[in-house]
Amino acid sequence: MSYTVTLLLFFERFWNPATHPRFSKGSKGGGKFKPKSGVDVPNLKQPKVTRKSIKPSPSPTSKIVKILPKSKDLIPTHTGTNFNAYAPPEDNTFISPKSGTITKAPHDPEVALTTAKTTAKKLGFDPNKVSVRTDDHVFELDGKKCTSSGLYYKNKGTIEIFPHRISPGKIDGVVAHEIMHHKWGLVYDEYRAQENEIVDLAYSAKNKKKKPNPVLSPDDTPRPPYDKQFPVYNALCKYFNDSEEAERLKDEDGCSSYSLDCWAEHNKSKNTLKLDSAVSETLSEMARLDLETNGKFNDISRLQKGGVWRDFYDSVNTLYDDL
Amino acid sequence: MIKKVKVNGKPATAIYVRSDMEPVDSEEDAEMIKIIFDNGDIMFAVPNKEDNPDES
Repeated sequence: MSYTVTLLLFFERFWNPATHPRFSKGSKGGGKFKPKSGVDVPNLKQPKVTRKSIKPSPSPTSKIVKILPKSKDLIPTHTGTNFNAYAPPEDNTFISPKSGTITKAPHDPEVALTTAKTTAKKLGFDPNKVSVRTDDHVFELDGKKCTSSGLYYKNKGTIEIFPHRISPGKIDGVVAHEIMHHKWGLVYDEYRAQENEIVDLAYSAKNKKKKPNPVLSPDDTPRPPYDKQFPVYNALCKYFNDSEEAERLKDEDGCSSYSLDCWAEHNKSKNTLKLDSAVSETLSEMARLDLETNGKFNDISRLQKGGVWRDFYDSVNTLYDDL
Repeated sequence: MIKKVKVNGKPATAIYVRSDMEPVDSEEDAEMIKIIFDNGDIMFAVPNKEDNPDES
């Protein structure tokens, strides 16, 4: 017994973990696995080893392993609709499986807000009207519980994003989509206001008996100088009157299977999805694609310049900028 | 799938899609729901599978 105690005391006195080959080469180990660019435990003057300090502190690797999110937390399972799969790890870190780079997670509220505001600025939308929520907005849809991932309030013109409920990398696309709804909403409201005004003027007591009508042409386009006085109506009336462009908007039904579905529903039942909603969804999809294709918007055949939807999309963006 | 719905009692139109915005034919296949309220508000939402066990 006393021999064992003596041996242990001897071992404790002379075994210094800081000078042991395993530790002196760093927690990544030595030999052929020794990192080429230095070690992660500096081999400087070693502290005196006491009983308390003999236990090595956790290595950087073990710290990383502790905060490493489980793969199921980051990758959609596609086995259902459980978007809790995107719930962020508590410390909001993300470690690239390829490079090992540690960054803030894409669903980190600060990163999400920066992404959303950058997208807003790029699209000419007031970035102060974009905010991020970290809570859950739960509601009932026909008796079934759902959770919001993005909200656009038309009256306030604000957008709220729930980054932990949005697939990684999709935040800017969602924001672009919502911003286009806002743009279209303002432009369309202005269009309707100018339409009412110009029709009132065209059929006022002063003008209604004049032949031809001094305000509107037979195809309802404004005559000069009213085309300048009602610029939004002038730019868009061709898409809403019974014109060739109006038919082309319906026939070419947008840019994606989503917008195609919207137009199919509008053509089937105008009560379920009204014309301005079908237009709004199509324009918003275009805005998302415009952003996500990163300059290759023109490669989508239906969206090339000269196409009815591209002209319409460009007109709405220009009119919004001029409002 | 697109249909008229009520969200907390408010009338709206729901468009059911996958997470890549591809339309789906039934609510059960939806990963996202685009909700267009009659007052012009718009919401992206996800169904809570854990709270609607009959859909899982």
